[in-house]
Amino acid sequence: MCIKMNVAQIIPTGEGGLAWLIVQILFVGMFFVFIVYGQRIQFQLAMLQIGRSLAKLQFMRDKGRGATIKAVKEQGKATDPTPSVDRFLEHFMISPIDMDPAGVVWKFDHVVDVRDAKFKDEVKVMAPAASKSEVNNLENMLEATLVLNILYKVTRHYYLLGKRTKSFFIVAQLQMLLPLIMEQAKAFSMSLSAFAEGQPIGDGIGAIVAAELMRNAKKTRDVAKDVVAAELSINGRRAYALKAKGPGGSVGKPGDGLEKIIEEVGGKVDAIIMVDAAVKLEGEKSGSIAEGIGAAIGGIGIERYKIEEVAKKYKIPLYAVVVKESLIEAITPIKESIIKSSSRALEVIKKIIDERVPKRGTIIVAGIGNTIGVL
Amino acid sequence: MESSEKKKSSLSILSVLLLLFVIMITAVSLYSALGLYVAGAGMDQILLNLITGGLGLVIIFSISAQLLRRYRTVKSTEEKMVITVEECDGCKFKAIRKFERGDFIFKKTEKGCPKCDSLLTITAIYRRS
Repeated sequence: MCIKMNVAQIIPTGEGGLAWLIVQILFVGMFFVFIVYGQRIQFQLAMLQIGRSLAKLQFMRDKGRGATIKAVKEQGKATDPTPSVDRFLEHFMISPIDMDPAGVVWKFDHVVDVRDAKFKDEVKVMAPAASKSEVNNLENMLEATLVLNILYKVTRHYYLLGKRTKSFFIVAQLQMLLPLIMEQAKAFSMSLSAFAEGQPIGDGIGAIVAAELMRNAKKTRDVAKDVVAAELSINGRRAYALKAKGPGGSVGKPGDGLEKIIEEVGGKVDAIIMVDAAVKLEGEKSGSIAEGIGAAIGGIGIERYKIEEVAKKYKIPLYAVVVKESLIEAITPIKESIIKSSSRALEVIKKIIDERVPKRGTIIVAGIGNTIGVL
Repeated sequence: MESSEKKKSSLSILSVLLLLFVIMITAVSLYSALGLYVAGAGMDQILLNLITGGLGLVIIFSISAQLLRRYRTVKSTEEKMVITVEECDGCKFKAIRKFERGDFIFKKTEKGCPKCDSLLTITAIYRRS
């Protein structure tokens, strides 16, 4: 077996040979290159990685925009909603000034109310034939696309700023945050199909638990904006189950709903039990349940503030039951392991009632979260 | 958007072509090293061929891993099937079907139970994990 041509024959080897010389020059050359241009090489590599991620973000944003336009066209029987969708994607909200923090929650509440009303009106104009549930779902979809647009634009801003100023530190910070940004973008991108189809999402586990309780009630009634409640009996106690009004995508204003019920019964409530989805820590199991104290509700804090205020006013204990899930699981169609945890969450609620609430006492069970795809 | 998709597919083709080229070079180098060893050539010649072949193997693994990762990402972002569970209020008969637009949890459907003729209620909608 004799090979006539090989690499060693092309380049003469051995000490003092051409190959040896090339290796020596390369070794010494690289040493100097890394000393002088090391940071610049790192900068270029980081820029390359960010550029690739930016292209992915743009793809996700464009895909989301396309899906949203398609859904508005289909569900709203609109002719061409593209300009309206594009206008919506550039929407922003200016937070109230908090230099004097007294009363800032109510200012936030007002601004958020105006924003919600405006969004809803815009969707109704965009999709005139859509039902109330479809309007809510389309609004959720548009908001998810808006987040994708913001993520893309902010990442692009720092990428271009780093490129223009050639600042390694701007680029390094962006590169460090990139995995978290990409994870968020992936979650919002994957949520679009759930919003378009009206499928329940992981965040709706609290609403599912409350709806399960409401099945045993004779009737439900509206207690606040997009919030329904029903009176029932749990283990011999008078209970009120409360959740956002479905099946369209909405979180409602549970703070207002709770306040109304508490005021109706003259503050004679023995416990408020809140059920919600909570972001799990890495390593925790999806669908696992944890008990705690306090108002289990996310968002910017307006509803939590209202609940804490009314609970403090009447000295009502607040108990929290949370179902652990990741960010992706929270805004994509609910997983089997998470929906199956609703029965375990109900058992925990009943255990809290048995242990902490006197017989013939009154309790409120609030199912928090987006009620998309849940009655 | 179309142009970015075209760019993506041309990049994949380029990666595959590059992979084939590196495989060829690696195979020749490793085969040469073996041939030289059998022929009793000098160690430096054998080593140079082995280093070239080794470098080639590293590049092959790196490109393959990259291509595989891209394929897995595309697969994982594909939508998973969402199913609807319908349950009879009377006899607890359960039926599982594919999710349809308009389904929601605790919706009373107009379908009758095949066993007892009571109406079916949607009791769960979830994504198969």
